[in-house]
Amino acid sequence: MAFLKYVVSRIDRLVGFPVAYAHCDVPCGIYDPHTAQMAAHTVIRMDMLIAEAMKNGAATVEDRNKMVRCIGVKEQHAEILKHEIEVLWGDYFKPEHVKDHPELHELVWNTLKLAGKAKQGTDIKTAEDLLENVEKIAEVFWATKKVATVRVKSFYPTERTMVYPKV
Amino acid sequence: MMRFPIMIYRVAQRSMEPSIKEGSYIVVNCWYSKVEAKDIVVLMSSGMIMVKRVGRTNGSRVFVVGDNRESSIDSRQLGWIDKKDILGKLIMVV
Repeated sequence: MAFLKYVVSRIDRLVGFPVAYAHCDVPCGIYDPHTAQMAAHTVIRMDMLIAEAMKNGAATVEDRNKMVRCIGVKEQHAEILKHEIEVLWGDYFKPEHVKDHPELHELVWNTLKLAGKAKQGTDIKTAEDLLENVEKIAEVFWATKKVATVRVKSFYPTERTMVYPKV
Repeated sequence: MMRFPIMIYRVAQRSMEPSIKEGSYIVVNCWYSKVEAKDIVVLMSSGMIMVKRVGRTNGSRVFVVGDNRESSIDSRQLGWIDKKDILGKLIMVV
């Protein structure tokens, strides 16, 4: 069989057989909701820093510079969050997961909407709701792998929680 | 469209493992008479040539899945496939 494969591969080099894709979207199986949670914390943190910069009306050039940078980072990380959640939704979650967690589609949809809302404004409550949703998705994710989770206070300046797998 | 009776395809990606390893060649019967559950078929979906296993048949349509379920994109996402989009049936893996 090895010889036959060698012969076929030599012919392939000459004529170029068509490719049939077994089609898996990068078959690495490596997915993790951690990045989305970090992005949600970043959005919260940026809202906090924007609020600080606004305390004195963003009167100085430094304050304005800081505020503009924070808005940029908030925008960027809300986009990272959306991308990460979309990848989990589109590539990782399967119909059997939705069967076990029927709330998943609506949860993801609301999370993407919240990420957009967090970009539009600087309301910390919106960012907190965003983190809450991402944490719920993280819990569903680990539940599909039959791994227990724990919500613990993060070590970030946001002082909000993170969902970790219990290992 | 005129089809050759036998075609050889090179398999990319791994959703048909362990049955078909990435980089294998598959010999396909393009003049097959019928398709049944458990057959491995080469099909055209969304402009892409794919290789999958038939899970179920339903009249003029088939539901196909990858053997490597964890990482396969198949009828679970793509829906039922028309039998007319099946290009051939697997004869052997090289």
